Amino acid sequence: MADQVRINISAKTMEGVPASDPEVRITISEATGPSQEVASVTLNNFTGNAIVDVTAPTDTFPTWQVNASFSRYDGSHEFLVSRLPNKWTPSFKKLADLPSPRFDRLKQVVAVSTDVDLKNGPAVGDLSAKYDSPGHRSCWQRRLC
Amino acid sequence: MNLYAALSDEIDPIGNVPWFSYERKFVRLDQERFLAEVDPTLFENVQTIVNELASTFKAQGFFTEPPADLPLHVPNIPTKYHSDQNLVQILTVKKDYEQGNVQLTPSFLRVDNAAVHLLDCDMDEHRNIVLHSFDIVNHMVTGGTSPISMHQYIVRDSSEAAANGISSIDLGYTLV
Repeated sequence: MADQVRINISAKTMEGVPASDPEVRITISEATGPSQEVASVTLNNFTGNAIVDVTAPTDTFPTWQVNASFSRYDGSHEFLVSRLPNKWTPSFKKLADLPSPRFDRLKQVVAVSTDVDLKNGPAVGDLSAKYDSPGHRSCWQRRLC
Repeated sequence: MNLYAALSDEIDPIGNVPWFSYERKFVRLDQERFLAEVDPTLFENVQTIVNELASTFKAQGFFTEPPADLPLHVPNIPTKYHSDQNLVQILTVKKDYEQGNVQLTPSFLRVDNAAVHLLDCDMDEHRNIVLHSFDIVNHMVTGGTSPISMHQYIVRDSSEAAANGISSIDLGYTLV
């Protein structure tokens, strides 16, 4: 009779929040013996936690290797995940909302930066005035990261 | 914002203040690079680090690049400074911080008989100096070091410094 095995999959980003991903592929294979694949499951709309029930074939070795591959992260076996650069977009706080005291010095410098340009790009001019401008930011937001 | 995080957290070993405290105003932005007018002290302290690299600062992780590579930084200076006529001296020093390889390239110019000190600061995601020449080729294709990758380096450094392993650093932006 085949065994039923329940695996709890949990993944967090390095900031400690659940690692949501539209497609996580879980593969389970034998850790010893011929290393044949035991099961393969695709989790759609993964929200950081999932339970996977696997029916173990009767002829497999008992120690399994569980691997997960993420579509938006570069994950390790410990599920400590790194973001894939081309899958993410920065979302900036407004200049006034940057918390004190960490950003006080930055705000001081931005306030007097009135003649700024982009290398190989358009002039920004007054950085303080343009910082929160979404229309302008669309062409230079990644440079502000 | 990634550079602000690195330069706010990392200290000038001579002035014992964060590197960013020398910034006066930004003049140019680029991906993982900015140019700013800075206090002359930054230029002087980088000069000291370069001068005493072999005897003191190499042990602290500082290194530099061959003099022949320095002209590669000059085109980064905005044309309004007329570096072709006004550039007096340019220096560069690098250090492998946990957040990435930070390069500080200050320059001294005389513009209309007034001294101007600029800082060209950039950060590389690859911290092996042997690979840097490959980075330059790669940047020509991709437009620069990925800011998202730098975000990950900085967050990782913050998470590793935290007792609970969870990053608490505020970079002024989030990724969505």
